[in-house]
Amino acid sequence: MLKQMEGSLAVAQAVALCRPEVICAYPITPQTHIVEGLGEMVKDGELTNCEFINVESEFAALSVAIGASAAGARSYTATASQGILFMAEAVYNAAGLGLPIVMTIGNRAIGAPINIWNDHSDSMALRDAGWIQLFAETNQEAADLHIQAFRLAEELSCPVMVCVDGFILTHAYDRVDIPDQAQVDAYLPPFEPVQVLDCKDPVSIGAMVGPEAFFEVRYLQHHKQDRALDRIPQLAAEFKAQFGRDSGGLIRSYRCDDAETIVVALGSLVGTVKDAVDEARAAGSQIGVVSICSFRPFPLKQVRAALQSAKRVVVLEKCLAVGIGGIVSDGVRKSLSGIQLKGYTVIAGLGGRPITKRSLLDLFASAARDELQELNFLDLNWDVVHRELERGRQQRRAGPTAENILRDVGVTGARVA
Amino acid sequence: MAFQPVKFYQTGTFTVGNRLLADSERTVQANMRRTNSLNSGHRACQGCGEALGARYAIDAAMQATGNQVMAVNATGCLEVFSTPYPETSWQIPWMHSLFGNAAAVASGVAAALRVKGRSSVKVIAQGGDGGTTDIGFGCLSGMFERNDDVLYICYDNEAYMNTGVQRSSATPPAARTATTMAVGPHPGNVFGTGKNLPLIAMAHHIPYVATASVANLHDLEVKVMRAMGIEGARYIHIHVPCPLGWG
Repeated sequence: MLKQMEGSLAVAQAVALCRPEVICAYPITPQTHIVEGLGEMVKDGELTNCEFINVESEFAALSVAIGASAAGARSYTATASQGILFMAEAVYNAAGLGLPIVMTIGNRAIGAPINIWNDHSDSMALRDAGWIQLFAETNQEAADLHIQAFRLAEELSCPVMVCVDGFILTHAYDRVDIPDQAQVDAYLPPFEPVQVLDCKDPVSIGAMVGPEAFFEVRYLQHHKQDRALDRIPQLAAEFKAQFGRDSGGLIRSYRCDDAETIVVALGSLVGTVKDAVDEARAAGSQIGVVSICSFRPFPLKQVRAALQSAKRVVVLEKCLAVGIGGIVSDGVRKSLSGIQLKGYTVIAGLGGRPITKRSLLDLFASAARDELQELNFLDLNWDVVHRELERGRQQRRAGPTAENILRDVGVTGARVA
Repeated sequence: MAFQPVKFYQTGTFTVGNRLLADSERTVQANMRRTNSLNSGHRACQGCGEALGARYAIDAAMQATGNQVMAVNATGCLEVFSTPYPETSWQIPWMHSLFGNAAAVASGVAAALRVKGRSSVKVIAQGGDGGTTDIGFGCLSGMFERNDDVLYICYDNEAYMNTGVQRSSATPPAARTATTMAVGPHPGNVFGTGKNLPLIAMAHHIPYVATASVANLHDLEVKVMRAMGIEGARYIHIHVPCPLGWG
């Protein structure tokens, strides 16, 4: 049924339709509305047969989910930013144990400086932990991906993160088609664990493994992700057959057929890029966009096929691997191994810096003229950066950089060009 | 010459051997049908107090619940010596996740059992003093205040023995550990530090807190069996010697 609703509530309702049995809640902006929505559904009896547990930290949230999943319950939690770092040890543990937990990430920057706004630094920091990572482009897809995520997680015994841009999606009101229970039940069978704590058939879960077998256990995690490369498009196709719309999959191409320039992006940014691409196309540019929905597993073959006939690729990413540059770009470059085309990394939108259509159009124009650097920072205020660097040269005790820059900028509101 | 009758002076005390007691007063361990939940063949050091404590505690819990016990273990000696795959000494459903999250994982297991309608199965979380009083303290306090249906057992051997005898917040004053060296004008652990976890547990107003020692195994069993009859968060702090760390 079509409803106008907040992204977080759409996610909460989709999760509820998946009949979760244990939900662990710990507040962190911008994910909080999701667990609040679920908590209300449990408390007022709308969501039955479900334990909603208020825990004392994100580390406990995922740990409770680990215990619940190992005991055979469909388990869910949500977090963001500092929260995913605080639970990092458990993130690896859940994947290593092969527990099919689904976790929403309300993507948010990581401090210091503390910042509640959107970028992709948080889930990217845990990209190699063995979880599948799916990025939602819209609120509709955010809702839909959760239904696919439980199915995928439980088929593969592999945890799945659904990454939803903080505020831009989580707090945005949009039209979302929430399916009915019968449709979801037809798509998502009950959870049948491959390992479970059971007094009738006792097993030891999570014991020590030495050099003689650890390598193989770790390889099999990689193998699961390879299987996910096959299953993700199949599940998206089944989803379309059941629910009548495209959601999920590995990647999606938009206006790429004759494109000389292809922009690669993830998450809600793709919508803005599509609008900019439409405008650039109208002005005569041969440009398209490839959105990556499945960041882990990274669909190397599919990305290669989508990009190989372009002249240049611009990877637009909301995260910065400090000391090297792009994170998504690494995967894209790997996918293009042996293909000679120009590749540009553009870091954009960190800490919620708006990514505007005007900036993107300027960026596309520079790209078309091959005037970009290998590594670019979209709308970075270089004057401020240079002044702060100069301040540091003049004075040893220059004070907190973030404070200096804010005094320099002189405004407290986000500036939209 | 006065006649001195032979006196079984131990009778009526907790130190008495099982042979001298009536069947009903004997320990669970003395029973041929004990479950051997932590079975023989594990890799604990000779004379390990933790192995002894765990064996008595878990078998007593099994006896009290009709063998309906699951255990969650923090990282530590007990986890390591009992389980390198493919071997396991555990004859019960057992799980290890991390060092600091045993109480939270146990809360999750208990929640799953509740939602699945398997409330007859009881959950025990266990760890050493480091995993309990230090790194697992946050999760433990959370489990306590929510009054989750978990018995947490701390086997306190007064230091991080698994990593080579380093100080924990359960290490007593003046004790020599690898990080409270017996050198300088104030050798060993600092006076006036550390925490009393049973008292902290009581401050959470949970339904049952006990201390015990492997020096008094009858008492230990009684306390575990009593705890298993109570619903909610329970805590037993068992003092166990570590021949390696205390030597």
